[in-house]
Amino acid sequence: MATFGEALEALEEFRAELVNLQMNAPIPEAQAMAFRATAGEPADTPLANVHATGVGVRDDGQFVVKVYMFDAASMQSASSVSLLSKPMQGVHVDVEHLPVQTAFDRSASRKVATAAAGNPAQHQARRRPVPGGVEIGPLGGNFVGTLGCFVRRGGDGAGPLFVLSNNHVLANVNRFPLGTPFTQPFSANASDTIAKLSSFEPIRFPAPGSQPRNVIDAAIAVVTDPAQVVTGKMLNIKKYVPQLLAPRPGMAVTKAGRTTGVTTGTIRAIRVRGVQVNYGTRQNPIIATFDNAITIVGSNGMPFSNPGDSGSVILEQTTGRPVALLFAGDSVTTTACDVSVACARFNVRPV
Amino acid sequence: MKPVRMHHPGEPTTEEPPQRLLDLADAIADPSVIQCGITTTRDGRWGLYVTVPADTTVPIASVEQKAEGFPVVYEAELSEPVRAGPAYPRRKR
Repeated sequence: MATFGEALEALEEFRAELVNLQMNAPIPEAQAMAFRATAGEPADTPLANVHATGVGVRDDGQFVVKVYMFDAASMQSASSVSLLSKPMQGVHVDVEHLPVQTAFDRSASRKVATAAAGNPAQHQARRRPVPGGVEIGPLGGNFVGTLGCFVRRGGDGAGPLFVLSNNHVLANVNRFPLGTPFTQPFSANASDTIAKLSSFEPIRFPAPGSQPRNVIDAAIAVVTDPAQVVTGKMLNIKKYVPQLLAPRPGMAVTKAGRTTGVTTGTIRAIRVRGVQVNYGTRQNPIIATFDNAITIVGSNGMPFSNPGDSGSVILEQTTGRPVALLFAGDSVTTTACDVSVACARFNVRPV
Repeated sequence: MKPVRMHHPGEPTTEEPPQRLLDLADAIADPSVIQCGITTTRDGRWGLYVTVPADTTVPIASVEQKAEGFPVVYEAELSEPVRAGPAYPRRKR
């Protein structure tokens, strides 16, 4: 079964061969003088009706070279052409009818994109009672992240209630003292305080003679007034079941975050070791290495997260159960740590 | 052959990855391997997930040998490390 890489290589070869055959095809004199409309008519050679090529995937997961033709009539004669009927470098060639396409209405595509991204403004607004998936920031500070979910210590429901998020959100990468107040939303007003930093897992950076590895970017802050928050709720997510679940590749996931609102994606890999994460800037990178990471890609080419979504708890889409804690990413990939490990570290469970 | 730019895993055929695969993932130590983890192939088979520089020729013999028959998915490493950082709402974009 061909891999994506093999199909790409075969595609390059296929295109070169296609151009070669098209260039060398005999051109009837009348056609050489002037182009004519041929819609609905079979062309002299099916190759003249090929208008797009690419890599496709069959239902069984096999990658193939895809060939698209303007009209259905030429498809019938495609089998007479060796290039269109035989595998290229061992990769099958699938021919499909694809009529001339019409561009989407721009306003319609904007509406779809907005709907898919949820409503970020709602996640940045003041919410009382406070659910999971909303903006949080240090009192009077200059940055924001996401309140992932609420967690509780002790199994009888009487233990203290905490906010779970990232170290780099609640502890500003090991810098904030315990007791630092956090507001919802980002605010300089002390009356918006909802929690105070309780504990964090230090992020370890390389030093001379030391190449430390990290597993989680996580911290908790104790809720100052439990009456101001609501457990068991994640803003704009219909189904949230606060029971931990192990992440799996191929798992469809969702999250509610401060910057992009509700997004969906797929887990690409789990237990990834050697992930380099930049805690500085592009110009002055400060790199920490993580093991046991989870990588996620957004649905339909949309980013799963952006800066400010850090701390979001990632849920399996169908069950609404937490699988990961988002902490890094770029425009394509989101990196998360195992939320079970974070909960074990602080001896808490989602509520 | 070059590594794929973006791997798309399928639903795994079993709930948990084989323990042997987990052990193998911890043992991969080829110098061209940047990251190593667990994934599934498009058809849901559990396998090794390996990132390598984009210009690396794959498959890598030492990795395949260590993989003991499990499929290996080679993905091109990102052009720069992913960033972990909050948002700064007062900064102008």
